[in-house]
Amino acid sequence: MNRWIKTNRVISALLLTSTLSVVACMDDFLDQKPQGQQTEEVFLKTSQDAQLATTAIYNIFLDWNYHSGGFPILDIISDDAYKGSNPGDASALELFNKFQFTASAGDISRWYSALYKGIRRANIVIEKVPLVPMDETLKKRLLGEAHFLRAHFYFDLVRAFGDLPKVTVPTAPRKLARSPKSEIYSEIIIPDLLAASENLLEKSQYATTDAGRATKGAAKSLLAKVYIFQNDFINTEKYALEVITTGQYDLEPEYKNAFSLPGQFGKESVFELGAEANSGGSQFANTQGVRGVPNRGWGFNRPSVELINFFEPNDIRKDETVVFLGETIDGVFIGGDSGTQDTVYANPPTNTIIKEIETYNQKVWVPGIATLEAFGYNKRIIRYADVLLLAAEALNENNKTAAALLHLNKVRQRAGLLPVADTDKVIVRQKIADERRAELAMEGNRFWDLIRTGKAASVLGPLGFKVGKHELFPIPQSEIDLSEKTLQQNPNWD
Amino acid sequence: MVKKILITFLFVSQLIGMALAQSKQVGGRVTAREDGSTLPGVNIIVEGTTKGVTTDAFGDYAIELSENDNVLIFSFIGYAPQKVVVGTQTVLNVILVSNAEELDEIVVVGYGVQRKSDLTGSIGSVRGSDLTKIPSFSPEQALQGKIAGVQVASPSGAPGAAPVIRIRGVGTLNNSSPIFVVDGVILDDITFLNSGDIESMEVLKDASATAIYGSRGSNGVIIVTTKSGSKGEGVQVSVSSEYSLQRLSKQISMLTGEEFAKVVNVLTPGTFNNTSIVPNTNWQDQIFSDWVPIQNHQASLSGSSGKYSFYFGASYFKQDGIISKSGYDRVSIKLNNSYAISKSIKVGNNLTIAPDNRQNAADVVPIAYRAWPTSVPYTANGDFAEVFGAGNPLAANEFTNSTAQRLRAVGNAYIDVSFLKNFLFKSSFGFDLSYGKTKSYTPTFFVSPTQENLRSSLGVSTDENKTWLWENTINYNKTIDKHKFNALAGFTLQKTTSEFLSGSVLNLIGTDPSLWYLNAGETLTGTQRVGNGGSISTIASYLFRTNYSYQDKYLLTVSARIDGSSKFGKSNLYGTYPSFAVGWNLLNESFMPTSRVFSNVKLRASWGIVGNEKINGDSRFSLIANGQNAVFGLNEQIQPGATLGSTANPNLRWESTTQTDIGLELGFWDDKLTAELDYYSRVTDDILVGLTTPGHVGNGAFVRVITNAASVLNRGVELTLAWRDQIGQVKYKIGGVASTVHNEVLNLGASSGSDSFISSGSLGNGQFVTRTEVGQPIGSFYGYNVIGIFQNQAELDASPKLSDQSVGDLRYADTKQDGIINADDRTYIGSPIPSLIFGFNTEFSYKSFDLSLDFQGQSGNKIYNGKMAVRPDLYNFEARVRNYWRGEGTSNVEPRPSAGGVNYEPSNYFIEDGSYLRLRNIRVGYNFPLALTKKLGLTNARAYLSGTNVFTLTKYSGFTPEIGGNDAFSSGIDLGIYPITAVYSVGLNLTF
Repeated sequence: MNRWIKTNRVISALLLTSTLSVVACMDDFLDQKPQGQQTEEVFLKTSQDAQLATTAIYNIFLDWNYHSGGFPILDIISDDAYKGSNPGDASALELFNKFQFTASAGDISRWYSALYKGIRRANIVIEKVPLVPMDETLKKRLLGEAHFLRAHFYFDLVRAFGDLPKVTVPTAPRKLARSPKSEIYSEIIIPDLLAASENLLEKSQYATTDAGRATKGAAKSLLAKVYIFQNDFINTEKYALEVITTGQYDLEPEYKNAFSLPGQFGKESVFELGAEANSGGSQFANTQGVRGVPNRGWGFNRPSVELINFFEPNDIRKDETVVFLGETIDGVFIGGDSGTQDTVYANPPTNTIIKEIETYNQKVWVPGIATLEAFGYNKRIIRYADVLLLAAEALNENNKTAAALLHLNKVRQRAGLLPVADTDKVIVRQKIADERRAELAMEGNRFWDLIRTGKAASVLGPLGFKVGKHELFPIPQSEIDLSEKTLQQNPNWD
Repeated sequence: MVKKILITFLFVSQLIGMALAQSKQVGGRVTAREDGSTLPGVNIIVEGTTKGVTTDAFGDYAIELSENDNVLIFSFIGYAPQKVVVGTQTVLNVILVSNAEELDEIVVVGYGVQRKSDLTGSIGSVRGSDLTKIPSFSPEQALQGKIAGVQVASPSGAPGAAPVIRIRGVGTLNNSSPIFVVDGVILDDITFLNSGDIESMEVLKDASATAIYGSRGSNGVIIVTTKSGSKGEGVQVSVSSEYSLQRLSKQISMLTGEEFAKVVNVLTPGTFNNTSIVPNTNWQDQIFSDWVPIQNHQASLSGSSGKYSFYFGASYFKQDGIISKSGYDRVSIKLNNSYAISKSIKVGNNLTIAPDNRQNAADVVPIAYRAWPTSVPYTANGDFAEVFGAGNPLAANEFTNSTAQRLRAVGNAYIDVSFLKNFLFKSSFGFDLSYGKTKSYTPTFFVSPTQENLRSSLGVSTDENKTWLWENTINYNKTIDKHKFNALAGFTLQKTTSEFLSGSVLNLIGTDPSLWYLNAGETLTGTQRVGNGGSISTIASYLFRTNYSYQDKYLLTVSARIDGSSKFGKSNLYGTYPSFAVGWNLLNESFMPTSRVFSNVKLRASWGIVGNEKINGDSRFSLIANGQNAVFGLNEQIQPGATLGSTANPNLRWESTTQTDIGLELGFWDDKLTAELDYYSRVTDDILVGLTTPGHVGNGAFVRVITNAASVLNRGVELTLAWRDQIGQVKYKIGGVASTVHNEVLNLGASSGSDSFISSGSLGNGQFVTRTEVGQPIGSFYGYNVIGIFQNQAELDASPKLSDQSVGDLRYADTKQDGIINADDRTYIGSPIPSLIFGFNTEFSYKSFDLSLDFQGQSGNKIYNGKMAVRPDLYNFEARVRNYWRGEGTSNVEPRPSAGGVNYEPSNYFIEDGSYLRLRNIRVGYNFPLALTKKLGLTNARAYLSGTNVFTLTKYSGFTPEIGGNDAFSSGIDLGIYPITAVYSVGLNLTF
């Protein structure tokens, strides 16, 4: 029995001792790091980190939601396009076609969040990279890229939503009231673009492996566009002409190459989103690709009958903009979607007025017969034809109509059209507006141009556009709720 | 029970003197106290002699006694032996108490056991046959409707899907599930355990009981004790087998093809030319199969000899899903040993090894719900047809091949050392090892432009999760006169290490399952992916408890635990969790009348603080997001990108719950009637929850960050009643449990950045349908209040309305009464939390037959029919749309048909009543007569038929009103679930 008591004591003593020794190193035991992941404290200290963080901003362009919440809402909402696809697929998009969407439409909140996600990534670079010890030339360029991209995201946001929560740091508070639109322009967008045009390289100065990065020309082109949205034609003229006179850009001789696969990063490309089908794909073109035969995508964004009829006779752009059933493109026969009607009438069953015909957006066409290739489509954000038309518009408004015609006619000439010879400013203004519609159709510009020029009410009114309401998208209801009503809704949105 | 026997003994012994010594015959029946069943084969011997008989098949016996024979000893395996003085009686019916039931007097508590009469805490137990009634792989199902305050929901009927357990309402947001302590090992789930291997499950509800588990006690603790070696000499063998068939108990009523076509023609005139000739496919018939089997077989050996005792169990469970290509099977091996090295040292182990296999069907229930009834499953030549809505559900399942295997080993090895008379030292080294493997293969296929796969793909992953837990406690026990002391002190360490490795490839060289390996995929860079990550978390704890009782009348318990966790930063590393409790056994007071009416009167009260730390170990860190690549260059090269990931919260604190409990326990007429009433109040502070960050923060759409967000009160009353008696030969037992929950948000934590309300309950389409605000239940539904339909233009013109509303649309209440309708008019439209949860159980036995019925239900909660509200595409409609508004006076409930827009704004149009009453289980059993079993060498044989989820009375239109949601800010939202089934079983239990 004694033996057992002794054993007990020995065991107890051993256990007690080991217990105490463990207690001694408790702090180490309770200090555990995340595994396989870096934490904020160690990141963005080196030149390599700075390049990674800058590239990560461009990654937002591959996010489906970046493209107006996934679907080409900006075309659908205009008079250039219908929802497309089959009637049941994403039927909620029809509400955009009819101006019946509400503040709780998920597409809008996804779009809003994707743009701010890009802004945060730019803010991270803008805040942290200046402190990184690295090659100053490279640092200047990376910061220039970040400023350009931040301005670009804010420009989309401010046009869509007006006044905005102004975020210029990586960590924003949950509750942040909206700052006036004018402040977003004057304190962020314009200074950012000025900094970018100062610090960035011209397109030709980049290595060919860096094609797609923001350039001096892209920054100035975007500046021209930003100014025209404020009716500041003096500055629009200035920056558009600066881009034109650098000689960095020209029109593609063939119109289709301004947006096609062969024309990628070509001379007309001012700012373009790189995508690669296998592992760096973007769903932008898949969303709009031909549905059915061949099976290239979902078929959203159907060119409207109105748009088809708008093109002047002999305008080669009609055929390059619209995929018609029965045609053959790059050797591929277009059969379309057998499950839906080829022609939809506005007045069934009499069926005398055509409402829609089955067509697709040819600007996102990629050669091939499957859906995969479409994921490699590079969306053009700014192309040189746009810059020429901005220059033309600004010159005309600045009473330099003759100079304006020079740029306008360059665009018309490529489209196979006769030059405009009018000299009346008002007539030329309309010609330029029409030219923008034809040249840039299905590229997401039409709605903004109508709002900017005050024509939305007359053109879109019959489609459901309400003056005083639809000039802006609603702040997503979810954002108002998440902010505990710190964010206020836009006028006339309930 | 002991007391009862004592009283009987004393009473009877007084009669001894009066008894005349003479030869006589005594007879009677022996039954089990547990369920009133008769006990065949009970040994009856006359004390001091070798004279004896056994009971017959009906539990009856008769024995001749000589004049000196006064005491009979009744013994039966698994039951406590009982001595009975005969006296003058000639009919002597005896009730035996099973060993398991005797435990009823001894309740398992955290780090020890206590006599039930000494308890100061609120603890509920389930044991015996109640543990195995429900044909499920998961033992938690046995708790449903059995213990007041415990809610077990089955939000998914998929084979192998674990139920969701809530104890005393919803305290916390992130993970409200209790912890499980299996033979001393702390775990998050017990899905690896076979119900048949479990001896008892105790649910610790109040702080007095749970505070000893400190930071992990907040949501309650369920202590599971597995079976150990049988008490008597020899080996007991038991075998049982059960076979069940399951079927969908209810379909969701949808529009028929013709009805749907007509509605679509209202939306888009001319879509269907002739609505009377369209197909009519019932997609639920297409995806669900009837009478799908479940099997459950088990065998166990248990025994003891001297110093050694053991329990060995082996079981096999297999459930096929009512959706094809889904299923689950599990083998569970249990081995418990204990060996007494000496009188003072005992060593032992508990071990469970459970490999399982799971096959997951595609998520076809929502697809079938959405599919147009006007589409057909197959084309004329037998291919999958394009189905409008959300695709062809049959094709989705056909092309999904998803399997998961897991090997789980859980157990511990322990040593108990008694020393210096009053001390007991225990050291236990526990472990939970889990190795998983998943495989998912998708072939190339084309059904429609939105349902196709161009490149075959394969994903493979393995994971390992290893936890070790080392617990050391010293217990001191001392009785001095009328004072009893017990003190416990302990120190524990725990470490969990997890790691996963995953890979995926595209374009496999073939389709055969023999090629479903990464090596069979394309080796191009860019299409191959690998992933590997892990986490480590640690907990160190000090614990302490003391119990004191005076004369068994006055009871006091004080406990405390200090926990340190790696999940929290330096400044919040440790949390302290104290509790105090008192009890008063009034029956032992001299002023209580010595009537036989009361058999128990006890009051108890407790207060304490417990915590919750169920968050990811790295929640407090801002991590770097890798793989944020972009494409540059004329050759389109991927360039790597990385940046800061989602914003984090470095100031995370422990969530803590302050809990008060006052309980009254009553027993009447020898516990023929027992009642237990508890009032509880729980205040949970610094609730840990993932809050959606606003878009402008820049985390992306609907990204959530863990935050200490709010304080919440749960308050209510729990009642447990049981009555057992006998009428003639029918013995019966009736029991009921009920609990009320009042849930209220007390404040919102300013540290979360939210101080007026929190929006949550995302439907995934941009809509948030719950709001959490001070004074309201947590996660209350929030939206417009519908007051009818705009019947005509005059009504529309005269009423406040949303700008896009027109005649035939839902009319929303102008809550603010300011003459306009906007988002500010949204209001609270129901709570997902039931105000009453109840269950009632009855058991009857007559001769060899027994019958039991278990009911359970809840009331007061609402369900948001999210599947009806989320409509990015045009889907089939629920049957209610049949009665849509088609002109003035036609409906004031169902608006004109639409596929989005104003009528889909969050409103109580989508709210339904979630109350229900369910016949959870009905069971008829038959015990074979002894004469037959003896011939077969059996000691007991029993067969039964049972039905589970036989019917559910509810107004809810979905498959089941049991809608879960692990996040309490977003619970009760039905976005489409794998429905639970009605199960009919036949089973056989044999004991050798």
